[in-house]
Amino acid sequence: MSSFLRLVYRDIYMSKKALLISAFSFIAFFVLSILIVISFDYGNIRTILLETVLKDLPDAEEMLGTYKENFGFVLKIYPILCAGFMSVEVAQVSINDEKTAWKYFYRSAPISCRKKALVKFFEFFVLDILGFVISYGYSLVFSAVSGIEMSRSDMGMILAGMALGTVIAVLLYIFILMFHSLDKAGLMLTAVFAAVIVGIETYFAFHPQKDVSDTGPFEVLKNAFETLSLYSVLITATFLLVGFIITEMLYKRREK
Amino acid sequence: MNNYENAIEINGITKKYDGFTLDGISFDLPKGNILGFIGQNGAGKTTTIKSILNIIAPDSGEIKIFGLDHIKHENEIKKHISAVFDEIPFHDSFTATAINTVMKGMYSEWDEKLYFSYIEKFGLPKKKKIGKLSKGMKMKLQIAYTLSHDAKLLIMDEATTGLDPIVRSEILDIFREYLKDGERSILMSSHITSDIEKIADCVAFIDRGKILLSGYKDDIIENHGMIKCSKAAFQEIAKEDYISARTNDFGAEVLVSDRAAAKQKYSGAVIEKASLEDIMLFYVNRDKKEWT
Repeated sequence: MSSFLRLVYRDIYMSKKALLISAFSFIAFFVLSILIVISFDYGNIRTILLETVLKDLPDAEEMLGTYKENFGFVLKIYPILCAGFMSVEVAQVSINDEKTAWKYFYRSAPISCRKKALVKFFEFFVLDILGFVISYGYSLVFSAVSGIEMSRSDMGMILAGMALGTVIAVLLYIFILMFHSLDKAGLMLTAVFAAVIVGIETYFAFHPQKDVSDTGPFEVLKNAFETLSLYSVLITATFLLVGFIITEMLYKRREK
Repeated sequence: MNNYENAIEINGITKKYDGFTLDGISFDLPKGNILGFIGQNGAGKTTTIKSILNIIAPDSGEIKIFGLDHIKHENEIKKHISAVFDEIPFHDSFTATAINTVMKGMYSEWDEKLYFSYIEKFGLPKKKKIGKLSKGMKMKLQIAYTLSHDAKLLIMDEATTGLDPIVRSEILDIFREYLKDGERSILMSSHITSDIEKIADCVAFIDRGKILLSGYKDDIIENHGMIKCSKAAFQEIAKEDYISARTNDFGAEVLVSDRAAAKQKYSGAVIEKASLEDIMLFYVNRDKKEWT
């Protein structure tokens, strides 16, 4: 194993418990989501809906199909986000590093700042790809079992999950390197996201969008994911590249 | 690396903080020696060590390691040094075996066989998590991997603090063994002066950010002396002749920095050798001059 991969091994070794919990959580929800969607075709959900909300309606089957499609879309969000957020587990390693003498030991080791930053961002990149593959695989299986075709909004959701996970992981990691404190890093992360939300709201306040009152919330969500997919890859790549550059600079920085 | 006389040369290192200043720190660690860096808690030992490891940036001064500038040749130097801290830097979930895997990636000179021979010698379990080891075992594990990549310089920051005397003695024996070839050096910071007195060749004593004493340990101990006398006799000792004095109802203990001169001037007095602990204690109280 090369020296580079041994350093990656160290971070993965520390994340293994968290990754295992995420994997278990993903599998559990994956199984649950499949069972729920099957229940729309053959199980209790179908029976209950047809005997209550959709009772005696002429287009009951069609409406049931719509319920299944929309509910299925929402069900997919959690496992896809789970896979997309795998890189956040690696950022969490740096929290543990702040609590031990590792940061000083690592500083005393003959590893260049560039290599240290490369190790971290290689991990983020690999976990992003892995998360993408898992999410895509899950969507394929879900589609095969449920009979609901994969759409562009599904791909949009997968890419958005990956992008969001990358943004949080990179920002959290950088803030921990800057402030050496999980509390301060968390506060900064919250502040950044609050600023983004306020910015978006302000934008839409001054640039009203077309009336979507006759479009269902699921359609709005699906359209949003479709639009995001165009930018998600760009956001991921930008955060990985810029994050790498900033991280190398932070590693070079000495304590005051 | 080029031939060098001193493993570490520190010259005029200054670092200002609010309420504390590392003020013109200068000392050398000759090759093949152990330097005991002593001082009480908060004296500036860790700050000095962090400057040597380029973890903090001094405001002024120069540091050379193996005769090389410690910033310009940072990576080259770090291949040959190893730092030991008061706590093991690996997470509690690591085992000795996992540490071996990581260290192989950090040091090109890593000797796996030597590492596991130390593990066996120290009676450490290979697959037990660090979190389940005692403090003494964790320190031995740290020392095992520290000594396994042929480091020419070990920098130890309070490495024996909190360990029982038996473990401390074992560790000191290991260091003596490690230095036998004359090519390796150790900088060991501690406030446990008895350890330093047992093992160090040189001493640098820091107090409130200033180096008060530095040089060969035997010379420092030989030069200093403790006058033990009655209170009445103490009154006859000139203030400029001693560092400080500890008085009680029965008499006084007076530390002098020139034992030979004191013996001549105060020929009737009982003057004994001072231990490093006494020297440290009396220097720390030098401003009070007389204390109890």
